[in-house]
Amino acid sequence: MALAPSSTPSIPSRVSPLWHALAAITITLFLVSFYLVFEVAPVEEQMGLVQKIFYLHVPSAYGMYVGWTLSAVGGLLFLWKRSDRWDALSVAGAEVGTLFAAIVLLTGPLWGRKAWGVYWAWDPRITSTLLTAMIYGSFLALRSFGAAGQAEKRFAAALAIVGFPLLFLIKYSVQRWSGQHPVVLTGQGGGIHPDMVPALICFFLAVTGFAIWLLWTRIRIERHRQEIVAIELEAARRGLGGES
Amino acid sequence: MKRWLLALSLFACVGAFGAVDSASAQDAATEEDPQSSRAATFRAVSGPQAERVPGGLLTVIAYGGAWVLVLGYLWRLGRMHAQNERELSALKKSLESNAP
Repeated sequence: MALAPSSTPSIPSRVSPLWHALAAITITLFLVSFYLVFEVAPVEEQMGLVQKIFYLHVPSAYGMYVGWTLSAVGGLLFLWKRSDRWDALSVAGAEVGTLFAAIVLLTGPLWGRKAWGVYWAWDPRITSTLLTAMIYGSFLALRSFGAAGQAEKRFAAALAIVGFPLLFLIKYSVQRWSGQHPVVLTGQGGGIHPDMVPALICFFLAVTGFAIWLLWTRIRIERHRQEIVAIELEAARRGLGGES
Repeated sequence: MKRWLLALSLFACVGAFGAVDSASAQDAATEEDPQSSRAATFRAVSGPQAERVPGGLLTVIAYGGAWVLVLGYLWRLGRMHAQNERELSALKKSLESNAP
């Protein structure tokens, strides 16, 4: 007796070999990145060792943008199509984006302690990043209360969409209102030493692979969860089971 | 007149002595109390720079903290996956026991 409703297609239980390959490639890229950061890239003249935080901080910010953008896209498509697969993308994007945001908000103040003498400054970019993290944090808080109903999913999707324009605020706040945040990689900055470039590129690739792998894994878990909830509802409707 | 001059000179000596004593007392207080010294004078450090921010430690905390966050999230994913497996197996058992 097939209980899986037609609206939730069955998720293959076997993990794709590509998933394993991506995990292996990502681990390798991280190992190479650490070698390049701590062995090959030169120590910065003024900041010293603390500058090495830059190789972790900037790619993490990129991972944060990717995660939250996909969350907003998933939320928008969920509101439009009402398909659970887009809701899964929205949840996965919000979680992965918030994970990278946590790394950004951890590493930034540590760098700031050396550069500015204080852990936190109410700089436009830092403040807008914190504000956006709080919006996506509220998304995750809303979705963490057990199995989400349609109302919770719609409200969470709206939160993901509301948070999206703030990504542009984070990006352009430095150009618009200046502030203390460094602008090394932007047009206004002086760039980085050529020997620092391979470490940064490798870290970007590693974070890209890791973000894709995390999104893939989280979407898969969420789809399984949705399928289980759908089967439970179907079983209850048919008067079967009931204790799960 | 002589008395007046004597009194005036005595007063001046006492005053001068008092002023010198007061100034030396202030100097002594300045040397003893770093807070009042900070308010009155700025001095250059001698030897190595007095305040140092440990850059290596901050870098270790940054990379270590990032690892903790990543491993914590991976652990959470593992727990969610295990919960799905448990619920699926409970659902299967429940359906099998209710099957005609």
